[in-house]
Amino acid sequence: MSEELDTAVSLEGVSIGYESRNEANTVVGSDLSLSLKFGELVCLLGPNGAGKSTLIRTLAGLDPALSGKIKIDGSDLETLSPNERARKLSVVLTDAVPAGLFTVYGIVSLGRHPHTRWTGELGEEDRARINWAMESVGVDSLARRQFDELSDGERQKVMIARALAQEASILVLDEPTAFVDLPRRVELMRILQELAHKENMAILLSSHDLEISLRSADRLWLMNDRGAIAAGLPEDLAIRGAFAEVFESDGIGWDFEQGGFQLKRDPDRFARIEGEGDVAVWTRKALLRKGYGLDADAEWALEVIISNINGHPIWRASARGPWKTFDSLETLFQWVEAQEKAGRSP
Amino acid sequence: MLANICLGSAPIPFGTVIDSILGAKDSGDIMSEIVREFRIPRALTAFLSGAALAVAGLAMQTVFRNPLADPFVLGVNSGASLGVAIVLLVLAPTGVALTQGLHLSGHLLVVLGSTGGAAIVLVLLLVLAQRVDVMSLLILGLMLSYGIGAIVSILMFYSMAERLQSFFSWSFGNFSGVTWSQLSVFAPAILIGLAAMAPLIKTLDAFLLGERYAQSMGVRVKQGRVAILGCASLLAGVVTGFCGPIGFLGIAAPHFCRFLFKTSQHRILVPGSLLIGGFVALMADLIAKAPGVEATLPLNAVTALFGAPVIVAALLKQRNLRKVFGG
Repeated sequence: MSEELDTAVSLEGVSIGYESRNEANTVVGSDLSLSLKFGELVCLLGPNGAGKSTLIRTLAGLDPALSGKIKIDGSDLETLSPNERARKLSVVLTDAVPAGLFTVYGIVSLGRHPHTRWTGELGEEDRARINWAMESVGVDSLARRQFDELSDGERQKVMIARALAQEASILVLDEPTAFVDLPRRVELMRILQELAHKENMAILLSSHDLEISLRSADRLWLMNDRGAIAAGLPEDLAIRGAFAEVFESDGIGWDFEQGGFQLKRDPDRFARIEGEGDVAVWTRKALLRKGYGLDADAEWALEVIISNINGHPIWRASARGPWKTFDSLETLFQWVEAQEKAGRSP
Repeated sequence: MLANICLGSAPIPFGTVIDSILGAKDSGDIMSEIVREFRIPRALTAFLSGAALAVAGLAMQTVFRNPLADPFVLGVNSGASLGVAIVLLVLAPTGVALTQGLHLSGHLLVVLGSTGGAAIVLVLLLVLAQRVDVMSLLILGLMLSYGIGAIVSILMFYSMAERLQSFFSWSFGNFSGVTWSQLSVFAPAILIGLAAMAPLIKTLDAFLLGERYAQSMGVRVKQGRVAILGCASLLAGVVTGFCGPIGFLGIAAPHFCRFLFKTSQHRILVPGSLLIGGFVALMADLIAKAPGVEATLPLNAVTALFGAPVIVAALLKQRNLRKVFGG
């Protein structure tokens, strides 16, 4: 496929923000040049207030761009009629949907709006597409249920099904995983990934769920709080240190090796740890969380040795004193805290 | 509808009614004249008004996504009442329409006053509707109503008691004032308004998901909003112009319809509200005429007094309000 055909959405020197009648426009991000291809899932990441939603709405044609050129599927967004645009691009928004008295089927069928005649009557083709959309996200069994009886995760899937029923090859979602529990988030991302790869759709979603985005996105658009965007493979961005630049702030540090964020604290005490395997990994996490440094050559205040009796982990610990044995980290830290208290008030 | 025609201060036998409808003109007795000249136009007016108010109310509730929206949220009824107040309280006492004139051409003047007042408010708000979002529009409509209401109060304060009486009787609502000749304007206006709503049904459905979603599905939101509000206000304005401000029906009929059909889809709700609104209006008029009793009740009192408990019961049972509008 040529570069032209491959590109679903392209932004050239686009500025986004709010138009104001009396005052100067509020520019959220300026001179953005980006592209989204068919067959890829792109996550738009950034801190709250960076302008992710504004970019999503601008790109979807719901808000006007302040300047620059946006093309969707080869056509200038501004010259497309609302109906033509709706056939190329569908959205899932964060807007509350108070559509009670609607069955799931009823909501999904609203997506056929750009395709039906003025009466809104559904034909054979419409029904087939609605069924396909519901099956794709796994809500076909809910078709007759009332929308307001569903869980947040199910509702979000129904809204995605509605967007799919619109039969557009570009799908843009604003924070689709907010308010959804973790397993459901992973499932939603898997569904979107499959749609991008198997149906050759171009999918852009905004999120501030870094971990899941890193795992499932083909590419990332990383937006900093000044509205500038770095685009690329998650790994390339990590290597370039882009995450640290965008998200790092006082007290929060980007952990390069773990690929996640840590509470940044300068440790005032250190621990030494002996042992291997999963138990050692989790013990290390616990010590870090409790504020211990784990530098090998530091003067340690706490020593922990991990061993194993009949398949159960056992911790032996000493705070420069006698050794004690524990069967959980919780009891270990209770003892440590008691020791510390005793040490402070002899 | 036939029941409405048959019953009144003087009950008319069913057979006579059928005869006079089927054009037994030669019968010439007083009963069939009553049927032809009063009862039939009154029943038609009641049905059309009820249908118009119900459909207008439904449209307003959907566009404003507010269960309390009624056909008059944009203030067309306050515009109408100012028009009527000017006719009855200002013009009449200064001698433009004499007391005698009030009886003959007076009603027509009232109709002109209220329709004109409603039309001015309507045009004003439709211009505003293109500039502001729906919530601001709702508040502007409310403010306009209060403002106009204040002017009306001032007019009333300086008016004579007998003028006030006729103003009050207008404000109670009444289906009986519309004659055949007025019906020839009233009916087409209502039918045009209702017919214009038909192609907007699809847009109304899209609006249920909110304006942003509607826009994303290819709806021209501003044009759609103006068309729907224009249509609804036309219906409400015409009814108010001819029959006075008739409350409650426009809020209640759509809710009752949702309760009956358990859907939000306008393909069903628009025709449903139309029929239910028309039917409820006939019933209300029937009760207002109070068969067998000399006096008639104010129509507005009847619609609210008898309609409210039905709606309250339906809502308590279903909790549909929350379902439809969230929250």
